[in-house]
Amino acid sequence: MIKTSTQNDIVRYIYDETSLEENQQIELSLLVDHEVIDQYNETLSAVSSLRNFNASPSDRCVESILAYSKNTNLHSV
Amino acid sequence: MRDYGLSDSQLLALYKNGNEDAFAQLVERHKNKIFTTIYLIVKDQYIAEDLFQETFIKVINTIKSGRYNEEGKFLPWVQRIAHNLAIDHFRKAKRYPTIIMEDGSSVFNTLEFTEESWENVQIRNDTNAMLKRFIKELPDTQREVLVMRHYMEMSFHEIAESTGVSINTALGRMRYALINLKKKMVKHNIAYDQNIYPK
Repeated sequence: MIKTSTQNDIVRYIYDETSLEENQQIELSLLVDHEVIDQYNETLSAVSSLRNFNASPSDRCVESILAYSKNTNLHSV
Repeated sequence: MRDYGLSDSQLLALYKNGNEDAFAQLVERHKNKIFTTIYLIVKDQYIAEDLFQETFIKVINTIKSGRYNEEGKFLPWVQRIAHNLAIDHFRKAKRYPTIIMEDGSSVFNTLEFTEESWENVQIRNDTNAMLKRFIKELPDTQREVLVMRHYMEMSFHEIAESTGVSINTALGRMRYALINLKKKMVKHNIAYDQNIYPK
């Protein structure tokens, strides 16, 4: 069973929050430890899906913001 | 709208000097990320659009009154405003919005998505719609961390401080959010990126 700390480290690694030393340790594990490889692949596939997901505001919503900006002239404090 | 490749700071400088096109570029560049942050918290297109507009009214007023702090980066600053407004919306309503069910999915279907290819538009729409549903179904604590880390780009340390939990708890919530998403994707046979390589 893969340790919780290792699982957390994989999440931090995918989000670029690990140090260079930690990267080396994780990358070494990714070469030899099948449990770590599976965990990494599972986590990365979910993150990859999130990267392809975006919701958008309507054009009307954006246009009203741009119109507000054009019509707003505030003085510096 | 054409993006001239200027940095956010450069566009902000132009905007401060009255260049409205520069502001339009900033909005275009970041609108989806900011809107997604709000949407995944309030889970309603119309409320999200109201809060999105409110966010940018604050942004415009702050910049045009000369109160914008140059030390921070533009997107994280706007994301924090958006997140706070979305959370305030809950506090005012004193409840979390209910999950939209299939028989009330008209709002669900009105959302527009990016990253669509012409060839696979229907598949992508279906996949995005399912993924959106899965994210909305996550427990609130897991969805909050997921939004903060993935869309607001806050570090786990910042999330832990902001939510008053340990960094391991924040990491655990994120991990479970990703595990739950993956389980739902597998259960519903949702396609995902197979091109996985260690960085």
